[in-house]
Amino acid sequence: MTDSVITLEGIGKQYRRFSQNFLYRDIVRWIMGRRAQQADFWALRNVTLEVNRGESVGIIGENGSGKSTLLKVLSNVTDPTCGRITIDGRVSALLELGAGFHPQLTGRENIYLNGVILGMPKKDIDRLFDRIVEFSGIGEFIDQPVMTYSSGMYVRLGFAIAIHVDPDILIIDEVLAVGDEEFQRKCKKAIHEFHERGKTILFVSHDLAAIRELCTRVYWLRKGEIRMVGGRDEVTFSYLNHVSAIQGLATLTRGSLTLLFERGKLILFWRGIELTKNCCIFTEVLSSSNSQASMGASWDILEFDQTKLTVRGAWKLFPVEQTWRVELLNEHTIRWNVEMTLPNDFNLRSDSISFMLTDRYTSWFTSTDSGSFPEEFHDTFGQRIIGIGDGTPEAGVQERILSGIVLPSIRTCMATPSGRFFVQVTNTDAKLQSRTIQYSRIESKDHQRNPPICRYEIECIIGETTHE
Amino acid sequence: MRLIDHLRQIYQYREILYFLALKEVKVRYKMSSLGFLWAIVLPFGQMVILSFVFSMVMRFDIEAYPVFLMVGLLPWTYFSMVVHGTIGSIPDNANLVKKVYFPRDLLPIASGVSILFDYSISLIVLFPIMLFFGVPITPRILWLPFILVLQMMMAIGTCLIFSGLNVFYRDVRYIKDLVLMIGFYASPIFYPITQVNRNLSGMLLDIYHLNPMIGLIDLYRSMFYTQTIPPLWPIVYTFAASLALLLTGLVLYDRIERRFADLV
Repeated sequence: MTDSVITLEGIGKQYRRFSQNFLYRDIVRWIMGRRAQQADFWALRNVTLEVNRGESVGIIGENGSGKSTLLKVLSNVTDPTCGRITIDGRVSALLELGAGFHPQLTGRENIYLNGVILGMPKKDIDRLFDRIVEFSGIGEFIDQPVMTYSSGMYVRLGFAIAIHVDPDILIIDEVLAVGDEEFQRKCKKAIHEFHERGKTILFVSHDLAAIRELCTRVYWLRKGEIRMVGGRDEVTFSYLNHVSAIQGLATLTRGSLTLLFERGKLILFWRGIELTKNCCIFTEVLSSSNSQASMGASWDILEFDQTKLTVRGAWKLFPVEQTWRVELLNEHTIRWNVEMTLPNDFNLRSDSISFMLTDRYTSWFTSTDSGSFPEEFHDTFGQRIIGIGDGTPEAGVQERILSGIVLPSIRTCMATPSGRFFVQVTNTDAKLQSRTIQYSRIESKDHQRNPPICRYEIECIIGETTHE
Repeated sequence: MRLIDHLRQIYQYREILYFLALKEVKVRYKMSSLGFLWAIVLPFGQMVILSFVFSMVMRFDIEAYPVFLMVGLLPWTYFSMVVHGTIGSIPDNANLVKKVYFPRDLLPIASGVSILFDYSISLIVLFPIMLFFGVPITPRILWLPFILVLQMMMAIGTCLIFSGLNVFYRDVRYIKDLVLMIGFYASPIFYPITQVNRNLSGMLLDIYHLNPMIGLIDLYRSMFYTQTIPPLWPIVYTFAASLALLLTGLVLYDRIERRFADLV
């Protein structure tokens, strides 16, 4: 695995600040024999990067960090101002949403046009045509002009063509963020298969979840320079920290433990590795007719320092407010206090607190029971209850040591419940693929008035090697 | 040599050329309800109105004037459609230019090739008009392939220069309009070249004859209208000038196309 297919050495790309040229100015300059004097800026500076055969490498960075310039250099549409570039093999880029499609041409015509532009000989397109159509799921619409397509169909057709071009190096630029869930899974599967055939993938995105899923190594680009390079967990963690600091999101850190608050959810890291997944840690409120999770509420950060955080969120569907006080008591313990204000006439059916954890965990426990998670995620929507804790609501997952990394045990318990809660440990469906610990309020049968304020406190202990 | 490498690349990417040209033709006529009938109606209409003005209003005394006129319009219309239609080739395809590598000349060249479709339809319309006015169709029509090569060299060379420079200077668009307007009047399209030779003299006449379109229209006239052999030197000059235009266009693209992605 040491032969590199892409080598960039000290790549720099300089742009003139004013890209608009003026004919008369250039003529005058040419006649007077003066050289251009323009304010320049460097879109890329001293970028050195190496990608090995069969590797899948991610490039992250904010807007304007030089990602798209780097892609232009890699796909050979522009020359760098300085530096050396070596590419061994055919590069193909996945175009943005239907770029290169002509809206008035039919799907069939666009497959040919796009295919040859992306470097597929006509005879290959003839041969693969049916497979492309099948993969895209366009079906009988293939002979309709693509302007009648939905944006999802556009993307599906675009992706179907690109993946069948079968280049040695595939550059994927953000495109996966679109399309429905099922097609996204199909794309990811196709990309995995492509990767398994020993092909190289370069994935450019600011979608960290996708980067973590697809890439093993990540470059972080900032202001045209490589800020960091390393394993995906390490780099995405630093990047997330950086971004959250800028966007006013809150990061609490104590030793190996990091907790990030992001618009109604808490993301948990241990030594730079994310332990949560998807929706991470969140609450949910159910009325008699509706439900809304904390991610759907609008949140204000009231107070925030290194280890303590107070936020308040107003639900959009209901007149409900929650105030969260989160504190890292030490390197192992999070105390999370939730205070919920309800109007008198609001009929609260239930509310819950969920921890969605990474599927790298394999075994669970409650205060009375323990077991292993089933390996298969079920395709059906909804959750599978694996264990229900009686008595003290308490549940967790066991420590797991993988090659190189340690996933610490996590134990959660309801410390001061107001009202009765029960806990359940579940596997989500195959779409989300995560382990969930969920505390739910037991539904009140007699429709009694809720107290105007509910308080409860959850403790989350991370990295204890055993539990009693 | 760089130019030869460049031509080899164009050849290597010829399938893109084919499908781009096909796209141009389809897109041009697909959405209108009369479809490619427009390719007949437009040149025909132009011929009718110009014939009306010059043979009935201006009283030009030329035998079978509509044929005379239409024969001159054929190469000019092709030329002006190509130059006019390709000026924005690069910025119009910005999303491709920024993402995928292929020789950029293919974009204007494909338009140039696709306009051959409109041209052939006009050509087909010409024959019944010739029959109607009693102008014979002679075996000289076999010159057509050579003439087409000449005509495409001239048009594509010019459109490469204009569309290439247009990426850098948006003023080029207006220069193109000016050149096309002057070109229409400065070419013997609706008047015979003999009239120019009779009425102009000295430097003015020499400048007039710098226009390479003259040789091309000469060739068309002797192929479809007069039965005379055209003078040789204007044709040699036209060929040399067209080749020079084409090579200039190709060298220009070879030199600047790698900067397009940064400018569009």
